[in-house]
Amino acid sequence: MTFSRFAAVVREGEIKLPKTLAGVTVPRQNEVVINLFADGKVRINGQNYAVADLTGFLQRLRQSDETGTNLSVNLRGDEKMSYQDLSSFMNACARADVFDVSFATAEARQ
Amino acid sequence: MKLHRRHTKRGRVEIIPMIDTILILLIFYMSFSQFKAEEKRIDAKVPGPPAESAVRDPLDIVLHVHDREHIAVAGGGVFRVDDLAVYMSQVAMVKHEGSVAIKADPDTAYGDVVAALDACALARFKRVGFVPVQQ
Repeated sequence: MTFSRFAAVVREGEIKLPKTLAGVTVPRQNEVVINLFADGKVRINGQNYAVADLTGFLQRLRQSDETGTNLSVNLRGDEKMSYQDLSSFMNACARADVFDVSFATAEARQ
Repeated sequence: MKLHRRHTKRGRVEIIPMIDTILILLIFYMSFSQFKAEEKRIDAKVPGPPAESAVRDPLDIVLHVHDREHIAVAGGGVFRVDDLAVYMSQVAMVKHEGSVAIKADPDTAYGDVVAALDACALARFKRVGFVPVQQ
């Protein structure tokens, strides 16, 4: 348990999430976590992708899902990445017919 | 008669049980403490197909994010992100069913855009979407 926590910190430490006051911590079912770095790199489950490949990736995920539940995407974007990258990501989701998108944020201290 | 002096046992600190206890406490706190603030999530709308996104709801509140200090609300002025949360709360009292469209310059930082999204979420706007950058 101790070491798995350390592993999680190492994984998450690379992306600096924006801090927000609003937001919920409840996880969703059938959710894919997409990491988007400040330099535009995309990493999903430890594998690197290009933004252009995202549409195909999400379409394959939707087709392979046998449960029939809607696929949702959680974007873990670096706070320094540009709106252009966010726009490209949103377009990729829209093209793959994935409209259930949430944004991962870190809890801001009041 | 020979009197025996009574030996009183002098108290002393037991080092070894103390080390054991400290180690157990250390492992306990390492296991259950949070090294990082908990991750949250904010939901938003993805722009739909072009035909759908072209038709804009007249009740849409449009925010243009330049940076954290300059967020323009169409017909409402320019706000800092802290003031925007207050303004959006006031707007929400009138247009509680309204939707918000957030747009930004292509090089605007994602953190600043999410700050605007946070202000909308705090004001309990449920329908918040992003306007894609024109290619």
